[in-house]
Amino acid sequence: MDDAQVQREFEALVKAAFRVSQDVGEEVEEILRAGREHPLDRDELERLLTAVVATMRRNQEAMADLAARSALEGDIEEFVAGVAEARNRFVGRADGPARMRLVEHNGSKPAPVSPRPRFYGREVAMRGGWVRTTDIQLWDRNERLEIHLGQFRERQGRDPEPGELLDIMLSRMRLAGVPDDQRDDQFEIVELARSIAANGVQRPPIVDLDGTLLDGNRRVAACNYILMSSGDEFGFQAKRQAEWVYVWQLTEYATQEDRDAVVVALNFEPDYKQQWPEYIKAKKVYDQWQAMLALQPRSPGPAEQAKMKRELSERFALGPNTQAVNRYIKMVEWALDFEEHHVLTRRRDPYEVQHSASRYFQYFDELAKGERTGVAFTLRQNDVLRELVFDLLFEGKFRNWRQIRDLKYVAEDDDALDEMRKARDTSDLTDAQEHLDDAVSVARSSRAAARSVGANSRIEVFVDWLEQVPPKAFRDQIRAENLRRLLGALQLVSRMAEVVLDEDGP
Amino acid sequence: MGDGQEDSLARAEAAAAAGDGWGTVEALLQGPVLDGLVRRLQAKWPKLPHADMDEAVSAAVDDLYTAVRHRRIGSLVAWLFKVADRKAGRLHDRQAKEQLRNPADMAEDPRLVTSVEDLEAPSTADEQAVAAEVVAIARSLLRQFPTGNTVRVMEVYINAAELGVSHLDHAEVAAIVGLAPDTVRVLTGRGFRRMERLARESSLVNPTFGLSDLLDDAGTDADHPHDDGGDDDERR
Repeated sequence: MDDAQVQREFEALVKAAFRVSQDVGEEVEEILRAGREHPLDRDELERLLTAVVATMRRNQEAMADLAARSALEGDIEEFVAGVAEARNRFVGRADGPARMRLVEHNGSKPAPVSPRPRFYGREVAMRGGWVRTTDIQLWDRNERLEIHLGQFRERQGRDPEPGELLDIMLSRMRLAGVPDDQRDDQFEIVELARSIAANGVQRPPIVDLDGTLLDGNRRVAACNYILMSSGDEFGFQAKRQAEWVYVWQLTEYATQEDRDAVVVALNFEPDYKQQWPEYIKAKKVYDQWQAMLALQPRSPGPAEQAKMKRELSERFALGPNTQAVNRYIKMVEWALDFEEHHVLTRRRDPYEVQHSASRYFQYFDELAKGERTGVAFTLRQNDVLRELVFDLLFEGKFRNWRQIRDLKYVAEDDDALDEMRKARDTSDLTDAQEHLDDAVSVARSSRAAARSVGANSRIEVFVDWLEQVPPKAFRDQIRAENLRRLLGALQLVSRMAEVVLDEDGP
Repeated sequence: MGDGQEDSLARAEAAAAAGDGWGTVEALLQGPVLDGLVRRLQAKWPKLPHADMDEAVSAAVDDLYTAVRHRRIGSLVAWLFKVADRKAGRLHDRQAKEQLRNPADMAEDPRLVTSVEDLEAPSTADEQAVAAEVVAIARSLLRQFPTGNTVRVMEVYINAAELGVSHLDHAEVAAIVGLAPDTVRVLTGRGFRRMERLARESSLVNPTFGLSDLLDDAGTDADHPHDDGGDDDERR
């Protein structure tokens, strides 16, 4: 073996090994910078591409790599044209606006979203990662805010600042023409904030490269609402969670068509998400409530129950008080009575009964009202009427839930009850509803007649009693609510009494 | 590196791994890598004709395409650069040799006086025998190193060169030998200095041989002889 040849080859080996080891990080940065700042023009691109494909074809052929070679077959000119077209989408975007950086949070690192999401039939490359909620700019071209922004511009002669945009989203900025019932929370941010506090942001907002929101204005506004809330509804944990949002970000290659597709797909197209029926949601709450009670060593007192219900309410994002939880529990209790009646007494199919309970679930809200003197009380006292109501409800014969409110009067009137039976027994829905209307009318008129009977006696007894009530009873015993009712009634009758007395003369 | 660049590189790697040549090239061109590579080579080798430049970049893309199908590559851009730069250097050298008849040209470009030698893949039985011989020599030099992490790091590089690998990040080597990337960086510089010295003492290389000739902004510590960080092989 030739020593000179060995020496040459050894030098080559060491040099090759040395080259392998060379850190070319700065070269890499320089290459990327040069590529962004001075992209190849169309001619250069075509020339390079042609050379690349020719080299690859030649080498794969030499290596007899049939699979790779077939992967490079096709019209090179067509391929070059396609690549050049695709490049036009991103070349020139390098000097665009400042970029919002996605960061790692809770061990979750920024990464390409895979598989790529599709919007309006377009596959759009995105990166997923975390950003501070306060760094995200609400989108001031959001169609949802078009009228509000127009009003603002007219009033201020400028576009709103990011903070002002947030004030509009949170209904903190009073704008004329917003309906009264929407003045406090037109965009329903509070409920969304409660949901986010309980479950986090479920669908990542989508931001442009510079951090401008393309989708998710309400979600980000809700996170800001949590962060800015001063009451005790949102605790430390909720605020900490709301401080960071996981977002999807467009890449520098995104085209205007990509942006349009995102906006249109997410704001114009319905996502066909169907909320759970309230019956199902209420049963979830009820089941959880029963489970909580089962864990208690003894029956919890009112204060303890209230605390447990608050916890339950937070868990299901139902707000800071226990109103919704109480409502659901009562509704489900009535629904269970309804189901029991139909399954055990009427021998109906349990699932058919549950479907019916779900369909007419809102009626149970009305049935549950008035536990001391109202509908609930009346139905609890009168098994016949309750079962009659359950039968009518199952068959869908109530015209609307307002008819439920008058049931308390029906119980006292045999004629009205008779009309209700007729309503139950007829198979014609229109007839049934007319019978129900009649039942309610009869009960109301009987009630009015009953109220007018013995009016003088009643007034004499009441006035005698009223005059003897010691003044301190007004302060210590009579509830404010009753005092207000008394005042209201006195004002009402005083006008009527004055008219009558004036007519009678002195 | 930008997210979109990472994305296009990841797609290029995936396409190459799947044997999709069009997809590989298309993905590379969705980012600024090949554009930048051409511009960088143009700046470094200003006299190289367009066709040679395209040939160098084409060789790099083809090498990458083949390599990715057999092994995981840490930095695709670094790999492309090293292959393209080496190829451009060789084309530049060939051009220089052709122009030897015109000394005036040589005087203008000092790079022409340095020969760019390379490790060619052995094709004949003789060449394979020589290749095996020089690898054995390199390993025998490593046995003269104090045992330790430097030897393990150098073995990785020798093996890589033997297999035709164009680039290994310090992080990749670190993962192989179980050290921190910074430690690998220090040991790499130290190892090649020792290798160069031992080779010269054993007359295995020309007296003029020097790795520092290859350093063009190299990031190893080969040119920092007094670095005292990392592994302490030298002090044992």
